[in-house]
Amino acid sequence: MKTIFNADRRHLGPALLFIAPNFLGFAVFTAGPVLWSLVVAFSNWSILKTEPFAWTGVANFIELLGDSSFWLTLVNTGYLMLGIPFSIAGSLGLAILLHGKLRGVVFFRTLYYLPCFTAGVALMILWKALLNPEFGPVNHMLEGAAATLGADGWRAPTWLQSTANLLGLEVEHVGLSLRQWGVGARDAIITMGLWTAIGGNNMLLYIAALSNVPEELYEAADIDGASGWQKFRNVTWPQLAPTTFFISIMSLIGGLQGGFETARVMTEGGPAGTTKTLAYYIYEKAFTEFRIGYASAVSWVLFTLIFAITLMQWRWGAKNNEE
Amino acid sequence: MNGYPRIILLLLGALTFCAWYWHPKHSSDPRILLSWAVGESNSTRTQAKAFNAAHPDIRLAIDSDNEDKMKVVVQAIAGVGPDLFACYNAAGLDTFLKANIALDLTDEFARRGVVPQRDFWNGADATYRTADGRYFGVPLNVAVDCLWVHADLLAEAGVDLPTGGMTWEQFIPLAKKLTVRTPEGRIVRYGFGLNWAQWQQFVWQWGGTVFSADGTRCTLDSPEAIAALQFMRDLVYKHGVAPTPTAEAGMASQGGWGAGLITQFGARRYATALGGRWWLVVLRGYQGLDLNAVEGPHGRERVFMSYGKSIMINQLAPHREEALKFMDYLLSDEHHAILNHEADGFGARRSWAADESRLVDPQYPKETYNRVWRDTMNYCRVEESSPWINNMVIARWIDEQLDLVKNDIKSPEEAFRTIAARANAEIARNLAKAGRAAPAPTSASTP
Repeated sequence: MKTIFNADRRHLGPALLFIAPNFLGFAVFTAGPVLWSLVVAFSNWSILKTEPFAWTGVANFIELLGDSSFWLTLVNTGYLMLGIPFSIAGSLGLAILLHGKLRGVVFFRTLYYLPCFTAGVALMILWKALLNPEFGPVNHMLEGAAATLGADGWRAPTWLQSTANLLGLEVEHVGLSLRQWGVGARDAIITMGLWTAIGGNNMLLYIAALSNVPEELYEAADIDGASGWQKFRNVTWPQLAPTTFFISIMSLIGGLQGGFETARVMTEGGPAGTTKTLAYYIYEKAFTEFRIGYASAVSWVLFTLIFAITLMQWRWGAKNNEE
Repeated sequence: MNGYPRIILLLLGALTFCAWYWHPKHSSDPRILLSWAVGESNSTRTQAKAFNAAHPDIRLAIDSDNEDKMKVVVQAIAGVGPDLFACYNAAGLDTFLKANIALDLTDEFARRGVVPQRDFWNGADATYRTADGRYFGVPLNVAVDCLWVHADLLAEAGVDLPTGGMTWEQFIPLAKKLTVRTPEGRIVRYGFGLNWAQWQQFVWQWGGTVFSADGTRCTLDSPEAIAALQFMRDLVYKHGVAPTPTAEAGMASQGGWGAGLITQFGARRYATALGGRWWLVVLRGYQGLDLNAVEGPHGRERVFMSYGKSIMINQLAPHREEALKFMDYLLSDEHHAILNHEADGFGARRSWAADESRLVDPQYPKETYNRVWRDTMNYCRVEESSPWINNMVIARWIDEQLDLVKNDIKSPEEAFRTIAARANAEIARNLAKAGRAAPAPTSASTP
């Protein structure tokens, strides 16, 4: 024991030296600002000299509760996350297809993964052109299909120009309205997100997980005369549970934090603020209005939200995984 | 410590040495570097070149990547901001003043014998460079929107536009004549390219204002302001002379501020459009255009909005004296001549454009309409602002509400009432913080 301790002590110096650059970087550029943001969330700090710095206690958090823009962006963020289950299901489906011993499987895997290593801004501009209401190929195709089916004169959605959405969410307050029912900017963003995510990292994780399912389980199922669906339901799906759990957690965290680049590049948060997410809202408060204290408060609420959801999911997921 | 750790440490040491040995050395250029955060264009490049040629000890470098005002503020406060930066509107000035980074140039103007209210267009009212009677920016250019027209399209349609000003009532029938439809009713060319960002000019032309004179009340809920926005909406949905947002998006191409409308006009998708002389920066690139310009239509008030770009000096930057030399350059004839030639708006000094010979550039002999912008300046006002509200915030509310009106989701009246109610609540809060009472709402401005 003593020898190990001494050996450990002998290695302590070099070990500390090795981690020092990374640790210092983390402390200065990550941990420090995070802690500072917690401190200033209780202040009126603005980098503009609008009013003298003062501790405001929980005033920012109280203001936030009555801030309709905050709630609307929260709803927008939630709406955009509706694509997550579809994206997970799509990734799983694709992984199952690409897991088999298909000819050219490597080519297809690369092809589907392509959106993941293409520059995001380039993709967004491409989708903007694809969804152009007048000249975009998407609407040409939809209107062409409608005409073939006899629905001449049917107009395809105006996509990024429209405030409509599939749930009929109101624009200016949290609520529902039939007038807003339809397909609009938020749905366009979800569609683009699905296209990007289905063949992305989640698909790779599922392919890796599928490779780890013991072959004997399938052999036993075959002996029992299980159908393809039964094998999926009773063997594959339970075996993939830890991966699905991990993907769900990461997707939820990503979803709550996301939407900034898309809103910035494709819509500038419009039309009428319907594509603004919490991340965009924080940016706007911090760097347009320079209300750093308030933006920090929103960031910490977002963190709490993510933490709470992850915790719930963790408990629920762990319980289900054990079963 | 032996084995791998030692090798890795040695490697890290070697790499550090290499990085130190080969890292880019400080420039051997002995000139003082002045960084100018502004959009890069032919015009600004030529200006920087001319300034550098006249000042061999200074190197003025354009930094267009950091032009955004958020970057300017954050970098300036951190001590690494540009020496010179551009300001385009009241919200920008508001931000720069609150960040305390814009140098007060009032005394510098006086030292140079320049009286801004007398010598510059927009004189003492330019909310993008002037606040509380103090001057914080040197005008780089000024602009006003006049009516650009495709002269050949007008001739084809037999439309003759009056040159001495016209009302919107006079203009609408002409715009209808200029709107071209296919036999199926699809519009292939609109008579007028509406820019919703010009809403403020419409409000003034209808006799309204954005704020009360002391800025303590937002007056967008007045009948005049509402009627103005209603008229803008009618241009699209009633008269059909301007496109809906969907049709507009269909015609849109990628580009910077205003570029969509300019390129669509350049592509002859609009027969007419309100725009500044600076549109020529883009329009000169189109072959075979037969352009003309006349004063824009007006409402019951013959008033137009003037705007411009002013250059501010970062008071936290180290090269103030050199930056002040750039101020001298911006006031010079040489700068005005370059600006005129590059068509980046026109020079801010009134006296420059008074000389008729300067209104025609021999290199662009077809551009015979330059005096229209100068003459229209006589009917101009500048953007309104209030010291009691963050102008960025109200600008965002207005954008959101205009989106709803443009998309025919909300009526102009509801939209302007919403903005006024929110703005007045915010103003009242800020007045209360300053220990002042908000004025009683008028009947027109009750939320």
